[in-house]
Amino acid sequence: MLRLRARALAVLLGASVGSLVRSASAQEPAPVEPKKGPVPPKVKTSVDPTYPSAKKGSGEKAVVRVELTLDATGKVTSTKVLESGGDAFDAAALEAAPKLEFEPATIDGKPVPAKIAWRFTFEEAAPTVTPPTTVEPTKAAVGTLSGTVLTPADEPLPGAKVVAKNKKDQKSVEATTDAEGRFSFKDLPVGTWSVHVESTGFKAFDVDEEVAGNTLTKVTYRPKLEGDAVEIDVKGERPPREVTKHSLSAAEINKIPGSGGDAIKAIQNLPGVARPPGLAAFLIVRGSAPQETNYFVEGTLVPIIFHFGGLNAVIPTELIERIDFYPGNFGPEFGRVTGGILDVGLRSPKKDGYHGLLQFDLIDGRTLLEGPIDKKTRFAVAARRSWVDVWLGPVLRSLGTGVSTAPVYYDGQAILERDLDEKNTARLAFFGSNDRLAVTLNSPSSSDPALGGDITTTTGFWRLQGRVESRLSAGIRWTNMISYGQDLIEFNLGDFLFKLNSHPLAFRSDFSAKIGKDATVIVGTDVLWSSYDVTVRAPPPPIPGEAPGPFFGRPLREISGSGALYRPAAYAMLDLRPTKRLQFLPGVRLDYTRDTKEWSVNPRVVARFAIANEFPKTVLKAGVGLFAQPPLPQQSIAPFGTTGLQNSRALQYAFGLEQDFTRQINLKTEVFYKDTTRLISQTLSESTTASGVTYGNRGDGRTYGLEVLLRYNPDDKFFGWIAYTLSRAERRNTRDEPLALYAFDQTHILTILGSYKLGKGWQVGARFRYVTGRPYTPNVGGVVDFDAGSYSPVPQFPLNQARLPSFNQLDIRIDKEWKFTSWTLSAYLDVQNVYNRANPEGVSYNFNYTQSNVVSGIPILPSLGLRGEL
Amino acid sequence: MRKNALALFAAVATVAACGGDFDPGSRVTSLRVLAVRAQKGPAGARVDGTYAKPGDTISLEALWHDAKGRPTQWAWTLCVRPASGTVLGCFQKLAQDAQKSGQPPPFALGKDKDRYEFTIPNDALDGVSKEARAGAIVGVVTAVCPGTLAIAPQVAKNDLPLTCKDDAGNVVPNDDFILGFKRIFLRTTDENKNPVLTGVTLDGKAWGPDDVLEVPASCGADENRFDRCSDGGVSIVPTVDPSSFEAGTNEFGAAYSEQLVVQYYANEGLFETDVRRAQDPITKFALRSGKGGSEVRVWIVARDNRGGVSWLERKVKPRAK
Repeated sequence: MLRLRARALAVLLGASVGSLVRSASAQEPAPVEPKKGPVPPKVKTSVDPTYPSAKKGSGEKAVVRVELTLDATGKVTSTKVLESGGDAFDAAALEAAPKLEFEPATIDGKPVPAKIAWRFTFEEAAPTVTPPTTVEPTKAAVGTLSGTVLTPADEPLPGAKVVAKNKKDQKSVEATTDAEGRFSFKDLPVGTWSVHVESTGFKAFDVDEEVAGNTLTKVTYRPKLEGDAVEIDVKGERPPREVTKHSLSAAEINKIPGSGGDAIKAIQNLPGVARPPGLAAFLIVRGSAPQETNYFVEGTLVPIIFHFGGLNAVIPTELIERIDFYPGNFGPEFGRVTGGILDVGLRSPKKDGYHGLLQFDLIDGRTLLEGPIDKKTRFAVAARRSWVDVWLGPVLRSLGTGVSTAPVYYDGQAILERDLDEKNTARLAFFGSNDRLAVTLNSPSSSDPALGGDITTTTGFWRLQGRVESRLSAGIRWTNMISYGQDLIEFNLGDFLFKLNSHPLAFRSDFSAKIGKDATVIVGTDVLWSSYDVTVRAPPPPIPGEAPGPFFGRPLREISGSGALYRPAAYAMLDLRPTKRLQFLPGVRLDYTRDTKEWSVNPRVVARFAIANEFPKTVLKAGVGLFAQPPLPQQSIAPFGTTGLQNSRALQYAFGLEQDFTRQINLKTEVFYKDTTRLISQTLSESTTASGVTYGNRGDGRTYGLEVLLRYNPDDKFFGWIAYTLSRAERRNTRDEPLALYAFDQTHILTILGSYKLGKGWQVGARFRYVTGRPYTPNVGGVVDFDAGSYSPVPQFPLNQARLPSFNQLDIRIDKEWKFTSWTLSAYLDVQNVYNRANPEGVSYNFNYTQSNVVSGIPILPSLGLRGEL
Repeated sequence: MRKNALALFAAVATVAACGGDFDPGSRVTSLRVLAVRAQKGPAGARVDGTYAKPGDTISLEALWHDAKGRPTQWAWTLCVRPASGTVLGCFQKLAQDAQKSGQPPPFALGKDKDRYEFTIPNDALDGVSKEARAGAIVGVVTAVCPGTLAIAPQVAKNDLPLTCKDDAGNVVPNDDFILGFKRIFLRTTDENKNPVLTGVTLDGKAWGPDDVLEVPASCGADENRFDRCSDGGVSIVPTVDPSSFEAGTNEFGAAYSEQLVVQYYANEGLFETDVRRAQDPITKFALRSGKGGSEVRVWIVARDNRGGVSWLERKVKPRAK
């Protein structure tokens, strides 16, 4: 998906130079075609700036970099200081800039407006102008080197410094990329030129280029992000195709206090994502239930995204290329949920040699090996095993617990990728995860004796995925993916049993084609088929609001079933740009759910309007769409559930604003409203159904709120942001009840974080969070369950009428890095809950539920770590 | 990563610490009903009766204690085939029945009425589908008030229309007014025997019903944690007859294997653990200094997870220093 989006100019550039684009290490000269493709503006009249009178006699030197906006005639229409040289020099530069005259930029020979960076150099004796391009008359033995600098995500990288040095005479020329990431050196003497590219936040790199006579050498450079070789894009509330996005660089993820360097956990610091209960292994998105958010790896549905306790994600950060996170109003390529979508993209294995990683810490150990097999084929294999069992097992045994398998998790990934030809890339990927626990509790819980004896759990999945990505032309892309795998969930507790064994087969096809200058069409299919085999031996669920236990002594029901789910879908969307300011994305998704025999048509539309298209940008955005979620299989399939159910529905609205303040600081804000209907609620029917419960589309609810992200984008010293969410989530089980707070409501979610590089390898960061306490239903006493010998709590209706006290916590992190010739050693001190606040995580009751107190979470926790990287 | 590990440690510690600030439920310091045992059949020929069929006569007998020795008023009633086999399910069924009849539930009241007999309605299984039969129950609700029970004419959906007041007319708080619930499983041929406790030892000595054995008062007067007592206390080891561990295939063709636990109660003192699996039922016990008087009562209750229960009652006294 990331690859399918493009700005209009970027598409044009890509279309014209697509076959010439190459990596930083490649080289591919091409004949000069002056009237084809983009041609940067050429200076006609240069202007020497006046050395400021206030500075005369000072001998002071200064450089001022100015952004020039040129119209289609080459006239300078606006100017802006990009890099200040001081007030006096800035004023002199801005006075001189409008006097510059250019031949206009062209695309395929047609004059177009352009934006370039211009550099004025001031020296008292002889002021000079250093234009970004050489504008002298063409000479015979010269050529042109021009190109584009892009981020790893193919976004233009403006402001990058490009220096070309002639290897023969060591003379150099310098340019700064413009707003579209372009640069150009004309009339370079033929020969080998050493090109150096650097930009804040990216790794500098050097490459040799051959410049031939009367030849235009076009290049595309993609410097890697500083700190790591991966870029993590986290797109908040991402409507179809690049309407809104939040991006976290790997450098940020590694240094955010509290996220443990895990990319997927890092998104919990963004707006719209609530703080989950302690040790919860799921995401709470805009007040939705966890099961209303689906997790994907490269478009393939996976049952879990975190290992037990939320300790780590099931895909290691080292293998992640991108994370598409949609808290709402997502595009029609996704469906079957009314909450959020998280899609994790695996990166391509490296092809510039063999690389390895071996890492150990208290939680797990991991290894990664990758590299090329031949020029067109590369591989990566990775595996991870937790060490929690090594130290937790003895702890549990010392407490009298028989432990055969202490909590342990594994995950593994393998990727084989091959360039079939210039236009097609195939990938075969395997990924899987397994979490296990086996203990014997000789002392069952006094609140429920069923919570004792032999307890075993296994949660695992694996997927084998094949994908072919075809770039049929610059404007046409077709991606096909098929995957097959297994989900296995087993839970044994004494006499209770739950076992699910399913084999999902999924197919996705996504085709996008540019059908005009300002229009792209996207169509696709999303098919899910899954066999299942389920056995349940457990008591029926409790009445809504009632505590599920005690279970001891309750009649067990054993139900088995097998069959197959079949849920095909198709979608279509247009990406229209009728004006330069407006982007309009209408789409529709058609879903069929075989178990409910229901067709579902879900139209969605998103629009973005740029009030100010140039920096500082101001963009209004809005979206509205219909989203449908089929019942869970256990709700709709006999004998577990009730036949005749319908999809739950959510009508989602969003309206927002994006505003740049400086190159580093921007604001994103959005209000959203979600109206959810046909929610499935349960009623008890132990005398009439095998499962003891009957489901119906009787519930409804709404969620609304405001999300704000004020962010300082990473520079060479600092990154940080303030994320705030104000929201309310309400639901009810039947329409004759009043709406009540939903269990996942959190009114205020505030995250303030920042990290600053002090120099000499030192970096210090802090994160502060404030979150409203979650709602809960208090108990007003208990009734003795004579079969269990313990008390059953009596809830106080209506549900969720009380709230836990608020949560607030400060975490700090200090890093120190030592760079050696071939490796880097880093150490960190990470302190959670610095002021040792007793943060509430729940309510504890005495044996008969007549007394209660609040259970506190993690106390102050300092930790020290070491990491070595080759 | 390390933060995660410590978070897990903290969570484990948090869970382990839950309830540490409260008096243990095993210490009987007010009115408590510890168990209700069911038998079926006519007097003189009764057999264990948590599994019964329509028409069977069920006799219930309660194990209870009031630390304050007050007279109690008891109330018993039935919810036949509630929609849920939980407490609230039974309460809601009572409310539904009351709404239909316009009368509050028919409570059987009585002073110190710790026994109750009823007959399962002959139509108790009528209309129950085959697949729902395994969950069909008759629920028995018990209320015990150390004062006077009043029955309200209006029935709330999730509550009982009962009020317990003391002699002064004050409403008795929840922790002194007992509401309880027991299930009788409606089965045609299945049977369930109560566990059998054949005896118990204290520090290896046989401990009969009339024996008053000595236990060290090694815990502080206000202590609620056994691990902070000054010595290891005494060992209590009940013997659960092996025949108590029933297993087989029920009348619906499903295999079952009973889970058995032993629960410990005393009107003073601290148990190391107050619930043990019956396969390994040993626990330790100590008294708190200056508490409990000259004689302390100990109850040992064995339960299976199909409603079967049996108990022993023993006595101890503080060991002389």
